[in-house]
Amino acid sequence: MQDFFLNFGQATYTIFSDPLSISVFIAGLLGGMIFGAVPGVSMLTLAAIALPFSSNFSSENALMFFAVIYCSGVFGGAITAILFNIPGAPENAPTAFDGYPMTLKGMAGKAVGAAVLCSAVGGTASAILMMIATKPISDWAETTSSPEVFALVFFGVAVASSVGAKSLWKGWLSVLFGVCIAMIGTEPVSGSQRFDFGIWQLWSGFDFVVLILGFFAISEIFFQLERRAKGDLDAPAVNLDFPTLAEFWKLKYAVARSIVIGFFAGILPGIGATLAAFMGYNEAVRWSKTPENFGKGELEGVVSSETANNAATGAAMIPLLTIGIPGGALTAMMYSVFQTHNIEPGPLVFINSNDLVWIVFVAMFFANIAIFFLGWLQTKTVVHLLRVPFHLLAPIILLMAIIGAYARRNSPLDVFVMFAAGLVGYLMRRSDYSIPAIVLGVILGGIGEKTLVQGTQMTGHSFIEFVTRPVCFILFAAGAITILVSVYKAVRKPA
Amino acid sequence: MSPAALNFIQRSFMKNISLKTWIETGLWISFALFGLYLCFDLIANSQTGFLTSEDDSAFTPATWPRMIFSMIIVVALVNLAVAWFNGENPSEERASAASEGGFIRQNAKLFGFVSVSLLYGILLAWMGFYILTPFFILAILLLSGERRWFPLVALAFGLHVFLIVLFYRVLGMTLPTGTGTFYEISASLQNFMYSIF
Repeated sequence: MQDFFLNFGQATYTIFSDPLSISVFIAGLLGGMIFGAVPGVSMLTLAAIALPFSSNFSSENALMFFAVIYCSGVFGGAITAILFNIPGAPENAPTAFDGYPMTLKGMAGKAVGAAVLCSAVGGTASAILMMIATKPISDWAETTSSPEVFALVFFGVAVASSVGAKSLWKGWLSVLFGVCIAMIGTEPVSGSQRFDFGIWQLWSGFDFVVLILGFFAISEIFFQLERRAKGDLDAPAVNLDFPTLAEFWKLKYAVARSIVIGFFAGILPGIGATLAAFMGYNEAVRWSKTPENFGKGELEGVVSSETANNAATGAAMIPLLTIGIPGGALTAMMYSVFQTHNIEPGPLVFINSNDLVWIVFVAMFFANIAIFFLGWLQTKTVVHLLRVPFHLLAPIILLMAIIGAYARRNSPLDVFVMFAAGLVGYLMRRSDYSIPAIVLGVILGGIGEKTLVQGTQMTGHSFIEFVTRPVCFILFAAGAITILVSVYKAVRKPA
Repeated sequence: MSPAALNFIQRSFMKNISLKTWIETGLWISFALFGLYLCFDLIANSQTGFLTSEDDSAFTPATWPRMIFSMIIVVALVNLAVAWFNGENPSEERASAASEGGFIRQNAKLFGFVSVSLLYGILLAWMGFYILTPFFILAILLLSGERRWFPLVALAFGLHVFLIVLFYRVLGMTLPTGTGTFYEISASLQNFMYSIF
């Protein structure tokens, strides 16, 4: 316990004693809230744009920046979900189910106010749980090796396939497409070149940041332009009547339930906050005495979803820090930041870079507290930001994305790849495939192949020995059950 | 092909599955078969010696891709089978296809935007960021319907200069300079930027 407070105090001092660190903290906080709230961009856009420049900062400031925009961005995405039915990120999608109908009813202030408070409560609770739970999980993680990591990847993929796409099969095809993208370049075990079509720039595969920029930022611009062509981008009227304390008190059980669901769902690699938000919302519907009101503007729907997705932010750091497996697109970018600074996330990070880990923890803790205060302010000001026409924002986003994509490897090919990924992402979104699933396929595919080969070599190519390791058995069984249940539901109910 | 012929094909062969599902399934299976074909090529051209292992159970660079491409074929076929048994509404699809025609007309600007973006990606290596980007932004703004001169100039040229100063001058990043004559013009612009900022 003494170590806990010592680490907490040291990290707090490191962040708030240096003017540059304070500036980075505030920039991440405001950047995440603004990018999360502006239609057409999201925290992932900001993170993707900032990623190439993270090498210019110290490892402490770079990681803190990403941790802070993760917290503030997840909250920021709720604003567009509520006001425009445009979730800033997949994890804000359930927020739109009831938030947007509330806006249409003229209750936008209540919905956004609830999102502010619940994001702060859920995120802070998650940060505290993360500080307490990460070390024990890390100790356990030291005993794990490639077979366990592959089993975890299998479980993550099993869950990831059921979120975001119109049907389970399209979810699976999205994940598998992402895995195919990850296969291009140098094969991870023998070092052979694979699927490079004679283009030497592809020997190292596609850059993840370039793909992220294409799949999220560029495809979103294509999507917004299509909406603009159809005239679907009308801003609804907004009033700012916040919910009362009595209204919140009635929802205390929903908040507590969503914190627990969000935290444990967030630990799962591969899906994190998105699954948490959907589970939080689904459980709210399941436990409600008036489930028929959900989807028509029920405050509890907004509260459950926003508490759960913010509760998952801290939990999503656990697989990243303890095993080195990112839980989502933003944690995948944080993985890249670690590598840029020559740090390998995993059990040893607590021994080699303990101060860095605590800076991430403490930054997320204070970011969630700051959301509570800044969120109220943002609610009153964001309306004015939303008046900037999207066609004027699009060139700014494009220029930043072009420079960001080129800056990764000084390769013009990457800029083309970014636009091509944007087009593919746009077409797949129009056909109801899942972009988050593709991105997670890219990340988990690379890790999956490497650990599968290493694992089979460790076990002397014995599949039985691979599967019967205790942790592997549990994870394979859980993954298999998840797949069987989702297949059963998908086959029983028409897609 | 006439509408009557399309109707005949729909009734006779496609049952109650939409044309979109057939096309998607075909694309996925073609993609996977092409990938599997490349796997053969991969094994033939491997020079690492990794594949000469006498242990048949050892992984090769083609093992994982084969698994994934095979899974794509299976999932695409299951998707088709589920649509076959559960049924889709081809009449809805025909209406959707008709609206797709409307979509193309309605989104001519979007197609223009996509084309300009891909063209930019292709020409960037040749013409460079400094010369090509202002015209790209100008094209995007014009396609977006912006006709006021101030936003056009401010975003196409003002923002361009601001970002060059920020990234090239302040952060010291290199930006594509193009080749040949374009390289010389880009270099002159860089020197000009240095002399001013």
